Amino acid sequence: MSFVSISRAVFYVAVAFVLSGCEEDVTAVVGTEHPFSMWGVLNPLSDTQYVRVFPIEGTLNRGEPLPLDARFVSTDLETGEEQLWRDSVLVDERGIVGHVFYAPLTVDYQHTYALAITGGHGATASTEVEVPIRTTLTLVEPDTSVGVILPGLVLNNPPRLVRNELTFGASYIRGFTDGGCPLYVYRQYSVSYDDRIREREDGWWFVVNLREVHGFVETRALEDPFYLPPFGITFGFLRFDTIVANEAWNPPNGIYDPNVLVEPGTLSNVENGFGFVGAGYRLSRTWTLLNHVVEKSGFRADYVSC
Amino acid sequence: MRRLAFVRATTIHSSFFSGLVDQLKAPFGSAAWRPGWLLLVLGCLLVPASAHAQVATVNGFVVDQEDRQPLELVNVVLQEFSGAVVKGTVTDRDGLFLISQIPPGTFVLRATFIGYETYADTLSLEAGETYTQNITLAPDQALLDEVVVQTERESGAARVTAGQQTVRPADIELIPAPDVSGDLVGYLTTLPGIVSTGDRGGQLFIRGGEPSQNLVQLDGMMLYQPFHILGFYSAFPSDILSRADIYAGGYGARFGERISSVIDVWTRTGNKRRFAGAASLSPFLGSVQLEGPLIPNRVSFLFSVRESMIERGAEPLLDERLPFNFGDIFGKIHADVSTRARLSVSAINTHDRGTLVEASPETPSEEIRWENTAFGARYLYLPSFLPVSADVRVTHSRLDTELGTMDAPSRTSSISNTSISLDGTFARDETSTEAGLALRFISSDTALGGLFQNTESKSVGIDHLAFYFEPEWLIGRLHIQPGIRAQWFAIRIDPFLEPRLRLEWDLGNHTISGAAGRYVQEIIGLSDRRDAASIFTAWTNIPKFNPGQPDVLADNIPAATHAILGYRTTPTDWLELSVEGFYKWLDNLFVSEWTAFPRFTTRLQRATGRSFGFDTRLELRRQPYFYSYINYGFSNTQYEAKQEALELWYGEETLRFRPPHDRRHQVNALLSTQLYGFDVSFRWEFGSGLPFSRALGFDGFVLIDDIVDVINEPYSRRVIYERPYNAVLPTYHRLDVSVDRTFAVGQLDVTVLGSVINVYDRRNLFYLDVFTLQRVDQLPFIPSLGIKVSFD
Repeated sequence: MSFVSISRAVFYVAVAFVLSGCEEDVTAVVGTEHPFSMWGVLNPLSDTQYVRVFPIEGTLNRGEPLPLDARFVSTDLETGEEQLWRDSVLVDERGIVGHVFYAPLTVDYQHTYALAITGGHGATASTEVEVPIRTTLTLVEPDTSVGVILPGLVLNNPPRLVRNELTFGASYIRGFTDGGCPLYVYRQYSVSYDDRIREREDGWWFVVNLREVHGFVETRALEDPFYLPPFGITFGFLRFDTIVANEAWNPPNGIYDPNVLVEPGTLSNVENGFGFVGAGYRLSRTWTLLNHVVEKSGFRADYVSC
Repeated sequence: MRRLAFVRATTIHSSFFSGLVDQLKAPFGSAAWRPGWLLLVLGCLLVPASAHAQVATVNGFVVDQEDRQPLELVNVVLQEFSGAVVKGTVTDRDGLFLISQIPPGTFVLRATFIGYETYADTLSLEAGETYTQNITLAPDQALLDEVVVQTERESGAARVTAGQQTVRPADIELIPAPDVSGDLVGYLTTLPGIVSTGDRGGQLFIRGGEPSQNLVQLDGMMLYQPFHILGFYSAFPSDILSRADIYAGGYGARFGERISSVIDVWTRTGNKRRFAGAASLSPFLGSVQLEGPLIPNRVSFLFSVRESMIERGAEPLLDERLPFNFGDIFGKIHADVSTRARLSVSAINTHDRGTLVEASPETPSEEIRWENTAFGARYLYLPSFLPVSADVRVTHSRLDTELGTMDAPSRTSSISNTSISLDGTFARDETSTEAGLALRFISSDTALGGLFQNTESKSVGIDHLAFYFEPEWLIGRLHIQPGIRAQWFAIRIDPFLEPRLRLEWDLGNHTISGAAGRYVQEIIGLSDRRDAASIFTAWTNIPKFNPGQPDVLADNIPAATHAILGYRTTPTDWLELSVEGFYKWLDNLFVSEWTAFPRFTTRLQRATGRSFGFDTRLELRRQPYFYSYINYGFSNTQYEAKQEALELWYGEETLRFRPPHDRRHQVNALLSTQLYGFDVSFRWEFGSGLPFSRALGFDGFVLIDDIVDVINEPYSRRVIYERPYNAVLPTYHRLDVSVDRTFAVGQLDVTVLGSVINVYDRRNLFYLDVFTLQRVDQLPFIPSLGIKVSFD
């Protein structure tokens, strides 16, 4: 092996690598045929519907404060009625331009609406959204035979109930004034009831155990060093909230984790686009409880006076 | 927050030491008594002492007569009067030699080194005697050129042994750079298996590892981020170096606490006979260096200061904004405190400030600043009662890093490390043993503004205790160096045991080498590698599991297992070829959780990984006329991360991806020659494209978890990815050239250097902001002129 042959080999290898690496430009964003992403909820209790629309772009820029070059139409697939939506251009505190399309429209229960947005280039993103059935939340008479059991029922078996929450308030004494008046502190808590609601033939049932509620509040009160247990805890209120949702409104594992749902396609019902448009409405009921029911649960029904 | 952290640190200290004390107090035979390893080690240490009574030992230091600097690789032999060699050894980097197990008698002690006159003296040794003979070698002017040949032969581009390569200043000086004086990092980036972020950022990835997994030491002082923000420079200018040992993996038991590699840098000592100095200037850097005797022949100093000149030099030259400022200052005092002892004190400070990505309408500029400070003392001692050398070091290192504006940084991280260590070398026939222990007191403070597992701020104090034992046997031509390192971290009382093995089989012109080992790392550096421009590293520890405070890091100590097999051949004296393969298994890596949120909404997740590949190196040398090498490195690194949502997103539970430093192919070529009295060097480097995550586009995300009012509901902007790291950036290649010549002007040597970086003006990509498509390229075509004036 001579110097000349080695040098020549080195030269050829170098030239080969140079020629193979001439490309300098890089395509960081390959683009997609999907034109838009849509996010929103059709609410039959509202007389105006809103959907936020993001054009899918090649760069992450702030956008121009101009209406989108797009046509947004909703169609009631039961009646064939079409509605043209209008763009409202919003600029947030970061200077980023946003687009929320809206229409003076009251959606009907159990109707399905087709939402379609077509860009100036002709590409359309669309979705079909079914509005869930109308229902009511009924509170059944308390059962005080064993503890204090408060059943509730959402009638008509709507497809899904989401964000089921029990909210309750209570007060307890943390001391007395020089004049002997009690110093009450008010506490309010919300706990998820997603795991406690069951579907039966006549609707979605749930059961509130008021003694459990009392135990929950008492446990937290005992963590307060100023709480005076001999005076008990006075019941405030008890409310159940839920959202009646359509079938599509169903995140993976029933969990609304933004770090999971942010991945495109994870909770999506938009054709040729991304995003999610659900349909639903809130239901909420507050219990009115008699004093003996309250007291049987361990709460006080009254307040200590001065 | 600080108070809580202090309490925690105190708890760690007390539990750590009380546990250790309990073990030592526990009676023999009890369940708590588990120091079998300790007895074994102590026994091994004591054996040489008992055997010492019947034999003698000779030790000492060898220095150069001209400047009284230590001479390494000097052959020191004991001969009978007939000329027969009784025993021999070679001096180490301190010029130290140690010959033990000598039968009583009279011998000739001879020291030889090409380029120096031979030293010879007669010794009469008695049983049990430890005789110290310091040797001064006088240069032989007629053979100076051969000295160059000899010293470089111990290093060299293809001279890699089981992952280890020695780099000397002469090797560094061959690399074209904008300055007359070279820098170690310039050489490191020519090595196969080392991937850098390019000419800005100061990050080195070695054989699949992360920068924070590299152990970097200067004179035994740990440096956390020693590479300057401009890629040509580090805290290691070649002018002050003695040698650097690069272990790309498979390092012995002497090193620990990092799982990827070791860069062990040693500075030279100052001239003990006369003053010498140099000053240099280039468009990038100005430097001054001075050395000389404080007490002639006994105590010397070495001082070096460098400061970037970019604003006044390179920026006007390039007409391009280079918002970088950096510098370093180094000082060392070395003293021959007695016949048997040497004391050196070193200190270094480096500072860096810069903005890797300029501000745009979409992204604010983020300036990063960091400062290393380290100082330490080293006492090298040859006891008269044992055939050993003892090396005691006390060091303190600190790194402070900030990201954001000077007034209100958005993220900060500080780490400090105070270390006391003792290393001993025990020499016997065909065997030597190294053993040592180190005690480190480490503290870290991080304020991350909620990034990384929602950590706002964290302050911890951690103790490390490490012990290692590493014998070396020479059986025929086979060197076997097994070792064990025991490390006690705050995470648990039982030690982490790390077995190591290094082998070298010398077959004349052929050498086969191998290495394997287990490595763990408790102090880790967290970075968001999704973004090449994000070089901010938060240093923290692996905490104990605490059920009340969930932490993905808890109890999951990063670990690696290395395996290396290499072959080297030297068929002629001008040609050397080596091939080396490696495999690394990586466990408990922490990478950013994959998310479509743009920018830093980082949560960490555990990952495993593996890296394998091979290097080939070919070196040709016909100095002083011709020197060249070419090397090729292949590497394949893959991380695996399990994330709950992965199956949902991609249909599989495990995400396997190429991390962004997985450069598959690398080629480096160097050609150095002399033309008409000028030293000319060419360097060409090639790297295949690095992985990045290509996007489909951008939209926004609204969390629909309620009857949301989409007008007022907060929303996030979102990047629509295909899959993580699904594409590769363009290849990287560049040619650099330098021409220099030294002229004598009176008592001064004046060296003038002309260089061109990126000769064919390749647009090499440094950073691409996927969100804005803002592109930052590496340095363009840069002609540069440097001058250096030195006196000696």
